[in-house]
Amino acid sequence: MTTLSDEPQDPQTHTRWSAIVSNHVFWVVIATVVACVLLSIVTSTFATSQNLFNVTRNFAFVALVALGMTAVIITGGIDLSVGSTIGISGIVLAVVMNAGWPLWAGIGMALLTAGLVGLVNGILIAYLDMQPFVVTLGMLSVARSLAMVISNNRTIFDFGPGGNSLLALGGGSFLGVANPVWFLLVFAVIFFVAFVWSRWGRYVYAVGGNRQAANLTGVPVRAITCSVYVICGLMAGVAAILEVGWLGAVTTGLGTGDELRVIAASVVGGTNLMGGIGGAFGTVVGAALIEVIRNSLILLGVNSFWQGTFVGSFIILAVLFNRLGGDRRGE
Amino acid sequence: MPDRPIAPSRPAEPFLTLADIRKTYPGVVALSRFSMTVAPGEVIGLVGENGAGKSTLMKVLGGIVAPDSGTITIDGVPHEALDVAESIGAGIAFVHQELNLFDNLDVAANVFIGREPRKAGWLNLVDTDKMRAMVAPLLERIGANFRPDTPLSSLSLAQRQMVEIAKALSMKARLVILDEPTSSLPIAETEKLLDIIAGLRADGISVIFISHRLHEIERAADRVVALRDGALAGTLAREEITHDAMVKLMIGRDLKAQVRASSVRAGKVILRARGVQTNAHPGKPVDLDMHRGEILGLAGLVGAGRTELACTFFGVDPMLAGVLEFDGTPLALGSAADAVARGIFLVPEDRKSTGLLLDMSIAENVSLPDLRSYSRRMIVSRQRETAAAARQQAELDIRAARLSVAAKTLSGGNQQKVVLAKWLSMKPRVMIFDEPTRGIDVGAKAEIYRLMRRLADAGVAVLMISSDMEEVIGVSDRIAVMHEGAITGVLAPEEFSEENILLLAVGRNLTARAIA
Repeated sequence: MTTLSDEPQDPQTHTRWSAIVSNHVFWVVIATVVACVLLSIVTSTFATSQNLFNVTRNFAFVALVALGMTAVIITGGIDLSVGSTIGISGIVLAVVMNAGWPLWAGIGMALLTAGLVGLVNGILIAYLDMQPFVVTLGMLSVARSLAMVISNNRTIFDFGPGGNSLLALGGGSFLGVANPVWFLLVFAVIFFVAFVWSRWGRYVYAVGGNRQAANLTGVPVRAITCSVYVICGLMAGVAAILEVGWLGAVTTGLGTGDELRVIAASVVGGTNLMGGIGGAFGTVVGAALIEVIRNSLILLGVNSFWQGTFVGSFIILAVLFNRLGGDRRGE
Repeated sequence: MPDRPIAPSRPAEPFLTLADIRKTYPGVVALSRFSMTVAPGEVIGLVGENGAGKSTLMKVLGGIVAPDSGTITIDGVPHEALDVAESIGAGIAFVHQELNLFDNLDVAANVFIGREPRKAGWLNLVDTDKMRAMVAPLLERIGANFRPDTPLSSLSLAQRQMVEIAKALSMKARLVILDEPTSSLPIAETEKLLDIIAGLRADGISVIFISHRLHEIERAADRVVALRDGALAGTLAREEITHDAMVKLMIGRDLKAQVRASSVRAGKVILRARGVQTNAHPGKPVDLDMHRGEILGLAGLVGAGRTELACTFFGVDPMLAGVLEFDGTPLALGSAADAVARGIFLVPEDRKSTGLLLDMSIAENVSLPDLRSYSRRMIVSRQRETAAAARQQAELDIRAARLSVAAKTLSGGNQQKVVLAKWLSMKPRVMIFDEPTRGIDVGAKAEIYRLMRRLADAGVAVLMISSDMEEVIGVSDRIAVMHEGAITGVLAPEEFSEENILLLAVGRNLTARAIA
């Protein structure tokens, strides 16, 4: 309808303040702060340095992968294989180091594995035009099964001569903050810069905003689409290395079901599953909010069986919230 | 046109009367003191530039917005406002520019969607046979050449419009509002639609026909109602309806249509196609030369393969066979990016779905095809892209509050300018325009024609795909005509005529007489 779009925007409705209030991420931040304040009042255990240390470390693993997932979702895709990617790269790391190789070799092989998983996803999706949902669903099964094949389905605790440095990397802390949180900080800044200022970021939003238009404008749509799956895979690899170092042991079940929490973090943080919308800051806050809620259930003594109900409901609520908050994209 | 039937004598009582309608949006008066009547069986041509208030008027009639003041009288019953159900109940039916049909259903199901006849019994199943039997006579009435059980997905755009009209008839419509029905139709199908309008009229059904194609209004309308800046600019009785009179009412001044300016000799060939075959029409090789400094019109019916040919030149569609030469050297295009790198640009037909990223800002849209030159290492310089966009804004007169506003907030004409801006900020050598003025108002059309001419004068080869005869003849330096994937002829200016184009478009050869 031409007339409506011809109307000039009323400048008064677009002040900085109203822009903030209408922003999804703003409300996620508010919700996180409110939840933290309430928990501090209601429980004596939340605002302890030990609990906060655990909470931040726990959400760091999810948030690291969610940063990559956000890139995928902005292009309008989805990666269901991240949990299995964490599993297989954790296993590769463990097997390589168990065989006596040093830490760098283990990390290198873990990242290579994670990147390869992402590359296979990316090629199938970007160059063979297959549906992301189907490809990564298949990969979820394939990568998990390969992890079992590689490790012969055993639990590995012995990381060889480099074991101590691996445990220090994932389990240690610096200035009272767990190492994974520092990693998250660094990657969050990198992703933030990439999304907001880089050419790659611009292309990612363009592909998700309108694939056809991006293609007709000369954007390298296929290469960009492929790149986000590789990056998402690599982030799963990074998370796997840190998580293995923290746990001190690897089973082939590592990362099982993480895809749900990762996608939840991204979506709760304002990433639109239709593509084109999302950001690094929102993703980190989304991951934090989910972990705080999860932590509160534990502290309040709610049976841990309920966790899935809450995480799942949160995804649904976040999407609902997005719609009610005026999802102005599809008009 | 000579074969118009004589207007039947009408009852004095109008079907619909709008009196003193006013509608404002924050900061904008969309309609003010607007009055009009619609008599039964009357065909009203509604004209006005984009933003003149046509859409608001349609929303008032459709019950989507309520006017701030004024009355709507239907069959003598006054209403302050209509709601959607009242509008439908009164027999007002819309055929929108963007059709509201279901591709995965057949014709009958589309006509009766939501109102399907049911079988008896507790399951209340849809009575498909009855539904098809009810649709058949409607299709016959409008002369449709498809059946109630034809899948919608196999129909052309023109046939889909007929489905919409059949739907309107099935709802016992008394007023059918056609919003830009011909803007995407080629000549032959447009004729058909004008016939259908005449048929509705003969049955006593009123029609409001909104179009930017004035010569169609000239042919179809009993009366023209022109809107300008939300107010009634004037009405024209049947005998007063001329192209110039309508333009004058719409824009409030005289405007001579931009015509072919140059007798300038075209420059050397920049893009040469030899034996090019596209996916859409394999086995139909195309030879075509595009010269620097020339506007080459590409005419033909919808489905003739014009857009597919353009997409092949732009690297989006694969070239099955043949060679492309660019500036004397063979050209292999793997993607649009390859074409863009050489200065071959495409302005697609549907700017909303393929031309622009609606959620991105004007500046971001302008810089997108050439992002590399706006960035150092991997970081994009917002300052540089804003500066470039500002230059284009001044050059093309893009009306927007700021360059940071999303493209979706702009009007159609301004969106089209943003699409142009993104290419003009680079160095175009070949510009392909696919239906560049579809749905754009008269004033903005003239601007686009001037711009194409300026590009040509600057040595760019311009290819203009257009289904608008007036435009093809008025703007092109040469006209190539396609029929079913093949080029059936290339006309020089002295051969330009609607008849010649039409003959070639339906695959006939030009006889010596037709050329003379």
